[in-house]
Amino acid sequence: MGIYNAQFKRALYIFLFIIGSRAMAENNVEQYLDNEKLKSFRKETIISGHYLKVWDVYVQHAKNDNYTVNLDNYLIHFSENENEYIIYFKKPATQKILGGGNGTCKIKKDSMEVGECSFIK
Amino acid sequence: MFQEIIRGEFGQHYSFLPANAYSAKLDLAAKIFWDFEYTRQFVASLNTSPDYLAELLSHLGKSSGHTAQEKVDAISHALLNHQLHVYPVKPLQVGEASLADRTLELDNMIYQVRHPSVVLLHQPELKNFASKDEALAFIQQFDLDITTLSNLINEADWQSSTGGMDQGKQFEKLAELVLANKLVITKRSAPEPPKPESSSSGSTSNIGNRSAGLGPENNDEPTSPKTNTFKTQHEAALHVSKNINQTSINENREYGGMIYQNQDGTFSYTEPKQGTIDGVDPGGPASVPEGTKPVAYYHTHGGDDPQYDNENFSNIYDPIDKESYGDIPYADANKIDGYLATPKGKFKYYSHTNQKVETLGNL
Repeated sequence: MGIYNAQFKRALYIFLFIIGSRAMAENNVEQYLDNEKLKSFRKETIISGHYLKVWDVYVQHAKNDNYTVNLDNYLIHFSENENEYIIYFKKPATQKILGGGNGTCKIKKDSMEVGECSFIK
Repeated sequence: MFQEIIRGEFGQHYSFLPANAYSAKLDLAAKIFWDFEYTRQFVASLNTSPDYLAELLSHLGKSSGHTAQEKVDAISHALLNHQLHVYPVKPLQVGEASLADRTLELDNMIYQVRHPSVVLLHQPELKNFASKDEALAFIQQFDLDITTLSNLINEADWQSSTGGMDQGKQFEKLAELVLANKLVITKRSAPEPPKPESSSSGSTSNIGNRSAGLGPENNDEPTSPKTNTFKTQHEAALHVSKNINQTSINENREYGGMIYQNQDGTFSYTEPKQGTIDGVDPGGPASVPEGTKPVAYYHTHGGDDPQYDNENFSNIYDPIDKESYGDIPYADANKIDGYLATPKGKFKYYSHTNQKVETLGNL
Protein backbone atom coordinates (compact mmCIF):
# COMPACT_ATOMS: atom_id res chain seq x y z
CA MET A 1 0.00 0.00 0.00
CA GLY A 2 2.85 2.33 0.91
CA ILE A 3 4.57 1.53 -2.37
CA TYR A 4 1.34 2.17 -4.23
CA ASN A 5 0.96 5.58 -2.56
CA ALA A 6 4.52 6.50 -3.38
CA GLN A 7 4.06 5.50 -6.99
CA PHE A 8 0.86 7.45 -7.23
CA LYS A 9 2.38 10.56 -5.70
CA ARG A 10 5.29 10.31 -8.06
CA ALA A 11 3.04 9.96 -11.08
CA LEU A 12 0.94 12.88 -9.88
CA TYR A 13 4.02 15.01 -9.40
CA ILE A 14 5.25 14.21 -12.90
CA PHE A 15 1.89 14.96 -14.43
CA LEU A 16 1.50 18.24 -12.58
CA PHE A 17 4.99 19.09 -13.68
CA ILE A 18 3.98 18.62 -17.29
CA ILE A 19 0.84 20.64 -17.20
CA GLY A 20 2.36 23.23 -14.95
CA SER A 21 5.65 23.79 -16.66
CA ARG A 22 5.95 26.92 -18.70
CA ALA A 23 5.79 26.35 -22.37
CA MET A 24 8.51 28.84 -23.19
CA ALA A 25 6.08 30.92 -25.18
CA GLU A 26 8.45 33.83 -25.29
CA ASN A 27 11.23 31.66 -26.61
CA ASN A 28 11.71 30.89 -30.21
CA VAL A 29 11.64 27.22 -29.34
CA GLU A 30 11.09 26.12 -32.86
CA GLN A 31 9.99 28.21 -35.72
CA TYR A 32 6.57 26.66 -35.99
CA LEU A 33 5.94 25.61 -32.43
CA ASP A 34 2.51 26.90 -31.40
CA ASN A 35 3.32 28.37 -28.03
CA GLU A 36 -0.12 29.93 -27.70
CA LYS A 37 -1.74 26.54 -27.99
CA LEU A 38 0.67 25.03 -25.51
CA LYS A 39 -0.17 27.83 -23.09
CA SER A 40 -3.90 27.51 -23.60
CA PHE A 41 -3.88 24.00 -22.14
CA ARG A 42 -2.21 25.09 -18.96
CA LYS A 43 -5.32 25.44 -16.86
CA GLU A 44 -7.22 23.59 -14.21
CA THR A 45 -7.91 20.09 -15.37
CA ILE A 46 -9.11 16.72 -14.17
CA ILE A 47 -7.47 13.45 -15.01
CA SER A 48 -8.09 9.88 -14.00
CA GLY A 49 -5.64 8.64 -11.39
CA HIS A 50 -5.47 5.43 -13.35
CA TYR A 51 -4.09 7.34 -16.32
CA LEU A 52 -1.45 8.78 -14.06
CA LYS A 53 -0.39 5.23 -13.27
CA VAL A 54 -0.23 4.58 -17.00
CA TRP A 55 1.89 7.70 -17.38
CA ASP A 56 4.23 6.44 -14.70
CA VAL A 57 4.79 3.27 -16.73
CA TYR A 58 5.73 5.40 -19.73
CA VAL A 59 8.08 7.53 -17.64
CA GLN A 60 9.93 4.49 -16.37
CA HIS A 61 10.25 3.18 -19.90
CA ALA A 62 11.45 6.50 -21.26
CA LYS A 63 13.95 6.90 -18.45
CA ASN A 64 15.28 3.41 -18.93
CA ASP A 65 15.79 3.96 -22.63
CA ASN A 66 17.13 7.49 -22.44
CA TYR A 67 14.26 9.08 -24.31
CA THR A 68 14.79 12.76 -24.75
CA VAL A 69 11.55 14.22 -25.95
CA ASN A 70 11.31 17.76 -24.60
CA LEU A 71 7.97 17.61 -22.81
CA ASP A 72 7.82 21.39 -22.56
CA ASN A 73 6.91 21.35 -26.23
CA TYR A 74 4.12 18.77 -26.04
CA LEU A 75 0.47 18.31 -25.20
CA ILE A 76 -0.38 14.86 -23.87
CA HIS A 77 -3.60 13.00 -24.62
CA PHE A 78 -4.72 9.76 -22.96
CA SER A 79 -7.14 7.23 -24.41
CA GLU A 80 -7.71 3.49 -24.30
CA ASN A 81 -9.20 0.64 -26.27
CA GLU A 82 -10.01 -2.91 -25.25
CA ASN A 83 -6.40 -4.02 -24.95
CA GLU A 84 -4.23 -1.00 -24.45
CA TYR A 85 -3.79 2.50 -23.18
CA ILE A 86 -2.63 5.02 -25.73
CA ILE A 87 -0.63 8.10 -24.82
CA TYR A 88 -0.57 10.59 -27.67
CA PHE A 89 2.12 13.25 -27.77
CA LYS A 90 1.34 16.34 -29.78
CA LYS A 91 3.80 19.05 -30.65
CA PRO A 92 1.43 21.80 -31.79
CA ALA A 93 2.56 23.77 -34.81
CA THR A 94 1.38 27.04 -36.29
CA GLN A 95 1.39 25.52 -39.76
CA LYS A 96 1.55 22.09 -41.31
CA ILE A 97 5.03 20.78 -41.91
CA LEU A 98 6.50 17.43 -42.89
CA GLY A 99 6.87 15.15 -39.88
CA GLY A 100 6.35 17.27 -36.82
CA GLY A 101 7.37 15.12 -33.87
CA ASN A 102 3.97 13.87 -32.72
CA GLY A 103 3.94 10.34 -31.38
CA THR A 104 2.16 7.56 -29.57
CA CYS A 105 3.10 5.14 -26.87
CA LYS A 106 0.92 2.11 -26.23
CA ILE A 107 0.79 0.30 -22.91
CA LYS A 108 -0.71 -3.17 -22.66
CA LYS A 109 -3.61 -3.40 -20.25
CA ASP A 110 -3.00 -6.97 -19.19
CA SER A 111 0.65 -6.59 -18.24
CA MET A 112 1.07 -2.79 -18.02
CA GLU A 113 4.11 -3.22 -20.24
CA VAL A 114 5.09 -0.70 -22.85
CA GLY A 115 4.36 -1.83 -26.37
CA GLU A 116 4.99 0.23 -29.46
CA CYS A 117 6.37 3.70 -28.80
CA SER A 118 7.25 5.90 -31.71
CA PHE A 119 7.38 9.51 -32.82
CA ILE A 120 6.94 10.77 -36.35
CA LYS A 121 9.44 12.71 -38.35
CA MET B 1 33.70 -5.71 -28.31
CA PHE B 2 32.06 -3.40 -25.78
CA GLN B 3 31.77 -0.48 -28.16
CA GLU B 4 29.37 -2.50 -30.28
CA ILE B 5 25.93 -1.00 -30.72
CA ILE B 6 23.07 -3.45 -30.54
CA ARG B 7 19.61 -2.68 -31.74
CA GLY B 8 16.65 -3.54 -29.54
CA GLU B 9 13.17 -4.71 -30.42
CA PHE B 10 11.70 -1.24 -30.71
CA GLY B 11 14.70 0.38 -32.32
CA GLN B 12 16.55 1.50 -29.21
CA HIS B 13 20.29 1.05 -29.17
CA TYR B 14 22.26 -0.58 -26.40
CA SER B 15 25.83 -1.29 -25.49
CA PHE B 16 27.05 -3.95 -23.05
CA LEU B 17 29.73 -3.26 -20.48
CA PRO B 18 31.11 -5.51 -17.76
CA ALA B 19 30.43 -4.15 -14.29
CA ASN B 20 34.08 -3.53 -13.48
CA ALA B 21 34.92 -1.77 -16.74
CA TYR B 22 33.00 1.41 -16.27
CA SER B 23 35.03 3.71 -14.11
CA ALA B 24 34.22 7.08 -15.60
CA LYS B 25 32.29 9.37 -13.31
CA LEU B 26 29.57 9.91 -15.82
CA ASP B 27 25.94 10.07 -14.98
CA LEU B 28 24.80 7.16 -17.06
CA ALA B 29 22.11 4.80 -15.95
CA ALA B 30 22.35 1.17 -16.93
CA LYS B 31 19.10 -0.53 -17.84
CA ILE B 32 17.47 -1.98 -14.77
CA PHE B 33 16.52 -5.65 -14.54
CA TRP B 34 14.64 -7.25 -11.70
CA ASP B 35 12.94 -10.31 -13.09
CA PHE B 36 14.54 -13.25 -14.85
CA GLU B 37 11.77 -13.74 -17.39
CA TYR B 38 11.75 -10.05 -18.32
CA THR B 39 15.55 -10.05 -18.62
CA ARG B 40 15.46 -13.13 -20.82
CA GLN B 41 12.88 -11.57 -23.09
CA PHE B 42 14.96 -8.43 -23.34
CA VAL B 43 18.17 -10.28 -24.23
CA ALA B 44 16.35 -12.51 -26.71
CA SER B 45 14.84 -9.46 -28.41
CA LEU B 46 18.23 -7.89 -29.11
CA ASN B 47 19.37 -7.94 -32.67
CA THR B 48 22.61 -9.76 -31.97
CA SER B 49 24.16 -13.14 -32.61
CA PRO B 50 24.78 -16.09 -30.27
CA ASP B 51 28.47 -15.70 -31.14
CA TYR B 52 28.50 -12.17 -29.76
CA LEU B 53 26.77 -13.34 -26.58
CA ALA B 54 29.33 -16.15 -26.28
CA GLU B 55 32.12 -13.59 -26.66
CA LEU B 56 30.64 -11.49 -23.86
CA LEU B 57 30.34 -14.53 -21.62
CA SER B 58 33.88 -15.59 -22.38
CA HIS B 59 35.07 -12.11 -21.37
CA LEU B 60 33.27 -12.58 -18.07
CA GLY B 61 34.89 -16.00 -17.66
CA LYS B 62 31.56 -17.74 -17.82
CA SER B 63 30.54 -20.80 -19.72
CA SER B 64 28.15 -19.97 -22.51
CA GLY B 65 26.47 -23.34 -22.92
CA HIS B 66 25.70 -24.89 -26.26
CA THR B 67 22.42 -23.55 -27.49
CA ALA B 68 21.39 -19.99 -28.26
CA GLN B 69 18.85 -20.19 -25.44
CA GLU B 70 21.55 -21.19 -22.95
CA LYS B 71 23.59 -18.17 -24.01
CA VAL B 72 20.59 -15.89 -23.56
CA ASP B 73 20.00 -17.39 -20.11
CA ALA B 74 23.64 -16.96 -19.11
CA ILE B 75 23.67 -13.33 -20.22
CA SER B 76 20.40 -12.76 -18.36
CA HIS B 77 21.91 -14.14 -15.17
CA ALA B 78 24.97 -11.92 -15.63
CA LEU B 79 22.72 -8.88 -16.00
CA LEU B 80 20.63 -9.77 -12.97
CA ASN B 81 23.77 -10.42 -10.91
CA HIS B 82 25.27 -7.08 -12.03
CA GLN B 83 28.30 -8.75 -13.59
CA LEU B 84 27.27 -7.20 -16.84
CA HIS B 85 25.48 -3.94 -17.55
CA VAL B 86 23.63 -2.77 -20.58
CA TYR B 87 23.38 0.93 -21.32
CA PRO B 88 20.89 2.62 -23.60
CA VAL B 89 23.02 4.62 -26.01
CA LYS B 90 22.51 7.04 -28.83
CA PRO B 91 24.75 6.28 -31.77
CA LEU B 92 24.14 9.64 -33.35
CA GLN B 93 23.16 12.34 -30.99
CA VAL B 94 20.51 12.79 -28.44
CA GLY B 95 17.68 15.18 -28.36
CA GLU B 96 16.64 17.99 -30.58
CA ALA B 97 19.86 19.99 -30.83
CA SER B 98 21.81 19.13 -33.96
CA LEU B 99 25.53 18.42 -33.90
CA ALA B 100 26.18 21.73 -35.64
CA ASP B 101 24.23 23.59 -32.95
CA ARG B 102 26.31 22.11 -30.16
CA THR B 103 29.75 22.60 -31.64
CA LEU B 104 32.42 25.16 -30.83
CA GLU B 105 35.59 25.51 -32.86
CA LEU B 106 38.32 27.19 -30.86
CA ASP B 107 42.10 27.26 -31.27
CA ASN B 108 42.11 24.44 -33.82
CA MET B 109 40.04 22.24 -31.54
CA ILE B 110 36.44 21.16 -31.94
CA TYR B 111 34.34 20.98 -28.79
CA GLN B 112 30.87 19.48 -28.62
CA VAL B 113 28.30 19.28 -25.86
CA ARG B 114 27.27 15.63 -25.88
CA HIS B 115 25.26 13.12 -23.93
CA PRO B 116 27.56 11.00 -21.72
CA SER B 117 26.69 7.83 -23.63
CA VAL B 118 29.01 9.05 -26.37
CA VAL B 119 31.84 7.93 -24.08
CA LEU B 120 30.67 4.33 -24.21
CA LEU B 121 30.68 4.36 -27.97
CA HIS B 122 33.66 6.41 -29.05
CA GLN B 123 35.74 7.06 -25.93
CA PRO B 124 36.44 10.65 -26.94
CA GLU B 125 38.73 12.97 -25.06
CA LEU B 126 36.75 15.08 -22.61
CA LYS B 127 37.28 18.60 -21.38
CA ASN B 128 37.16 18.74 -17.60
CA PHE B 129 36.36 21.63 -15.34
CA ALA B 130 37.35 22.32 -11.76
CA SER B 131 34.43 24.58 -10.93
CA LYS B 132 31.06 25.73 -12.14
CA ASP B 133 32.48 29.16 -12.95
CA GLU B 134 35.15 27.60 -15.13
CA ALA B 135 32.59 25.46 -16.90
CA LEU B 136 30.27 28.41 -17.36
CA ALA B 137 33.00 30.64 -18.80
CA PHE B 138 33.88 27.96 -21.33
CA ILE B 139 30.32 27.06 -22.29
CA GLN B 140 29.40 30.68 -22.83
CA GLN B 141 31.75 30.66 -25.80
CA PHE B 142 29.37 28.30 -27.61
CA ASP B 143 26.87 30.01 -29.86
CA LEU B 144 23.85 28.54 -28.09
CA ASP B 145 20.51 30.22 -28.50
CA ILE B 146 17.77 29.72 -25.97
CA THR B 147 16.18 26.93 -28.00
CA THR B 148 19.36 24.91 -28.20
CA LEU B 149 20.09 25.52 -24.53
CA SER B 150 16.66 24.25 -23.61
CA ASN B 151 17.10 21.18 -25.77
CA LEU B 152 20.53 20.39 -24.33
CA ILE B 153 19.28 20.75 -20.76
CA ASN B 154 16.36 18.52 -21.62
CA GLU B 155 18.81 16.02 -23.07
CA ALA B 156 20.58 15.69 -19.73
CA ASP B 157 17.36 15.35 -17.83
CA TRP B 158 14.21 15.13 -19.84
CA GLN B 159 12.03 15.69 -16.80
CA SER B 160 13.58 19.07 -16.12
CA SER B 161 11.95 22.23 -17.41
CA THR B 162 13.60 25.39 -18.62
CA GLY B 163 10.36 27.33 -18.77
CA GLY B 164 10.89 30.72 -17.22
CA MET B 165 14.68 30.61 -17.39
CA ASP B 166 16.36 33.36 -19.37
CA GLN B 167 19.43 32.63 -21.47
CA GLY B 168 21.85 33.43 -18.65
CA LYS B 169 20.11 31.06 -16.26
CA GLN B 170 20.06 28.35 -18.91
CA PHE B 171 23.81 28.72 -19.44
CA GLU B 172 24.27 28.36 -15.68
CA LYS B 173 22.08 25.27 -15.63
CA LEU B 174 24.05 23.80 -18.51
CA ALA B 175 27.31 24.45 -16.64
CA GLU B 176 25.90 22.65 -13.60
CA LEU B 177 24.94 19.68 -15.74
CA VAL B 178 28.39 19.51 -17.30
CA LEU B 179 30.03 19.70 -13.91
CA ALA B 180 27.75 16.90 -12.70
CA ASN B 181 28.72 14.81 -15.76
CA LYS B 182 25.13 14.65 -16.95
CA LEU B 183 26.51 16.15 -20.16
CA VAL B 184 30.09 16.07 -21.37
CA ILE B 185 32.21 18.33 -23.53
CA THR B 186 34.15 16.27 -26.05
CA LYS B 187 37.23 17.67 -27.72
CA ARG B 188 39.25 16.75 -30.76
CA SER B 189 41.57 18.41 -33.19
CA ALA B 190 39.95 20.34 -35.99
CA PRO B 191 40.34 18.79 -39.42
CA GLU B 192 42.15 20.54 -42.25
CA PRO B 193 40.88 24.08 -42.77
CA PRO B 194 37.80 24.03 -44.96
CA LYS B 195 37.99 25.29 -48.50
CA PRO B 196 36.62 28.78 -48.95
CA GLU B 197 32.84 28.85 -49.28
CA SER B 198 32.40 25.17 -48.45
CA SER B 199 30.86 24.92 -45.04
CA SER B 200 31.06 21.73 -43.05
CA SER B 201 27.35 21.68 -42.54
CA GLY B 202 26.72 21.26 -45.83
CA SER B 203 25.26 21.14 -48.89
CA THR B 204 22.43 23.53 -48.64
CA SER B 205 24.20 26.43 -50.21
CA ASN B 206 25.95 24.25 -52.71
CA ILE B 207 22.99 22.52 -54.11
CA GLY B 208 20.95 25.51 -54.92
CA ASN B 209 17.89 25.84 -57.03
CA ARG B 210 19.22 23.45 -59.43
CA SER B 211 18.54 20.53 -61.33
CA ALA B 212 20.79 18.80 -63.59
CA GLY B 213 20.26 16.65 -66.47
CA LEU B 214 20.61 13.75 -64.30
CA GLY B 215 20.63 10.43 -65.56
CA PRO B 216 21.94 7.57 -63.60
CA GLU B 217 25.09 8.07 -65.59
CA ASN B 218 25.56 11.64 -64.40
CA ASN B 219 25.59 12.21 -60.68
CA ASP B 220 27.99 15.12 -60.68
CA GLU B 221 27.04 18.57 -59.61
CA PRO B 222 25.72 20.51 -62.55
CA THR B 223 28.11 22.96 -64.08
CA SER B 224 26.35 23.99 -67.21
CA PRO B 225 23.06 25.80 -67.66
CA LYS B 226 22.19 23.17 -70.22
CA THR B 227 22.07 20.53 -67.54
CA ASN B 228 19.82 22.21 -65.04
CA THR B 229 16.62 20.36 -65.64
CA PHE B 230 15.43 16.78 -65.46
CA LYS B 231 13.20 14.80 -67.71
CA THR B 232 11.07 13.45 -64.88
CA GLN B 233 10.15 14.50 -61.37
CA HIS B 234 11.59 11.21 -60.05
CA GLU B 235 14.97 12.15 -61.49
CA ALA B 236 14.90 15.62 -59.97
CA ALA B 237 13.93 14.23 -56.57
CA LEU B 238 16.55 11.47 -56.75
CA HIS B 239 19.29 13.93 -57.57
CA VAL B 240 18.64 16.31 -54.72
CA SER B 241 17.97 13.47 -52.28
CA LYS B 242 21.30 11.87 -53.13
CA ASN B 243 23.04 15.16 -52.57
CA ILE B 244 21.53 15.99 -49.23
CA ASN B 245 20.84 12.70 -47.48
CA GLN B 246 24.29 12.08 -46.04
CA THR B 247 24.43 15.60 -44.58
CA SER B 248 20.99 15.01 -43.13
CA ILE B 249 22.10 11.73 -41.55
CA ASN B 250 25.31 13.22 -40.17
CA GLU B 251 23.46 16.15 -38.61
CA ASN B 252 20.41 14.08 -37.62
CA ARG B 253 18.35 16.87 -39.07
CA GLU B 254 15.68 16.84 -41.75
CA TYR B 255 16.03 18.67 -45.03
CA GLY B 256 13.34 19.29 -47.59
CA GLY B 257 12.21 21.31 -50.56
CA MET B 258 9.90 21.29 -53.55
CA ILE B 259 9.95 19.67 -56.97
CA TYR B 260 8.34 21.71 -59.72
CA GLN B 261 7.61 21.47 -63.41
CA ASN B 262 9.02 24.12 -65.70
CA GLN B 263 7.05 25.59 -68.59
CA ASP B 264 8.99 23.42 -71.06
CA GLY B 265 7.83 20.28 -69.26
CA THR B 266 11.12 19.55 -67.48
CA PHE B 267 11.48 19.34 -63.72
CA SER B 268 13.63 21.13 -61.16
CA TYR B 269 13.88 21.42 -57.41
CA THR B 270 14.17 24.20 -54.86
CA GLU B 271 17.11 24.50 -52.51
CA PRO B 272 16.97 22.10 -49.56
CA LYS B 273 15.77 23.85 -46.43
CA GLN B 274 17.09 22.89 -43.04
CA GLY B 275 14.58 21.42 -40.64
CA THR B 276 14.88 19.96 -37.18
CA ILE B 277 15.33 16.48 -35.78
CA ASP B 278 11.67 15.68 -36.44
CA GLY B 279 10.27 18.06 -39.03
CA VAL B 280 10.88 20.32 -41.96
CA ASP B 281 8.94 22.92 -43.88
CA PRO B 282 9.69 22.22 -47.55
CA GLY B 283 8.28 25.61 -48.51
CA GLY B 284 4.98 24.44 -49.91
CA PRO B 285 3.47 25.08 -53.34
CA ALA B 286 3.85 28.85 -52.94
CA SER B 287 7.64 28.56 -52.78
CA VAL B 288 8.23 27.40 -56.36
CA PRO B 289 9.34 29.96 -58.98
CA GLU B 290 6.68 31.96 -60.76
CA GLY B 291 5.40 30.33 -63.91
CA THR B 292 6.24 26.81 -62.73
CA LYS B 293 3.95 24.18 -61.27
CA PRO B 294 4.57 22.45 -57.91
CA VAL B 295 4.33 18.69 -58.32
CA ALA B 296 5.92 17.23 -55.20
CA TYR B 297 7.96 17.80 -52.09
CA TYR B 298 11.13 15.94 -51.24
CA HIS B 299 12.61 15.45 -47.80
CA THR B 300 15.06 13.47 -45.73
CA HIS B 301 14.62 11.97 -42.28
CA GLY B 302 17.97 12.68 -40.65
CA GLY B 303 19.69 9.88 -38.75
CA ASP B 304 18.52 6.47 -37.62
CA ASP B 305 17.11 7.68 -34.34
CA PRO B 306 15.38 4.98 -32.29
CA GLN B 307 12.77 7.32 -30.90
CA TYR B 308 11.33 7.83 -34.35
CA ASP B 309 9.80 5.91 -37.22
CA ASN B 310 12.68 6.76 -39.52
CA GLU B 311 12.04 4.66 -42.60
CA ASN B 312 8.49 5.58 -43.47
CA PHE B 313 6.38 8.50 -44.61
CA SER B 314 4.64 9.73 -41.50
CA ASN B 315 0.91 9.74 -41.01
CA ILE B 316 -0.59 10.02 -37.56
CA TYR B 317 -4.13 10.70 -36.45
CA ASP B 318 -4.29 13.48 -33.91
CA PRO B 319 -7.07 12.87 -31.38
CA ILE B 320 -6.74 16.44 -30.08
CA ASP B 321 -7.38 18.27 -33.35
CA LYS B 322 -9.15 15.26 -34.88
CA GLU B 323 -7.15 15.35 -38.07
CA SER B 324 -4.07 13.62 -39.44
CA TYR B 325 -0.56 15.01 -39.45
CA GLY B 326 2.68 14.07 -41.12
CA ASP B 327 4.16 13.58 -44.56
CA ILE B 328 1.21 11.90 -46.24
CA PRO B 329 -1.46 14.33 -45.02
CA TYR B 330 0.84 17.16 -46.12
CA ALA B 331 0.97 15.73 -49.65
CA ASP B 332 -2.76 15.12 -49.76
CA ALA B 333 -3.63 18.57 -48.42
CA ASN B 334 -1.44 20.25 -51.05
CA LYS B 335 -2.36 17.80 -53.82
CA ILE B 336 1.26 17.02 -54.53
CA ASP B 337 3.40 13.88 -54.42
CA GLY B 338 6.11 13.23 -51.85
CA TYR B 339 9.63 11.82 -51.81
CA LEU B 340 11.53 10.52 -48.83
CA ALA B 341 15.22 9.67 -48.41
CA THR B 342 15.64 7.49 -45.32
CA PRO B 343 18.57 6.96 -42.96
CA LYS B 344 19.03 3.48 -44.44
CA GLY B 345 19.34 4.97 -47.90
CA LYS B 346 15.93 4.03 -49.26
CA PHE B 347 14.34 6.36 -51.78
CA LYS B 348 10.56 6.33 -51.41
CA TYR B 349 7.73 7.93 -53.31
CA TYR B 350 4.16 8.75 -52.29
CA SER B 351 1.65 9.33 -55.06
CA HIS B 352 -1.19 11.49 -53.80
CA THR B 353 -3.40 10.47 -56.71
CA ASN B 354 -3.04 6.73 -56.01
CA GLN B 355 -2.44 7.27 -52.28
CA LYS B 356 0.27 4.64 -52.44
CA VAL B 357 3.85 4.47 -51.21
CA GLU B 358 6.47 2.89 -53.41
CA THR B 359 10.16 2.27 -52.80
CA LEU B 360 11.92 3.46 -55.93
CA GLY B 361 15.32 2.09 -54.93
CA ASN B 362 18.40 2.89 -52.93
CA LEU B 363 20.27 6.17 -52.95
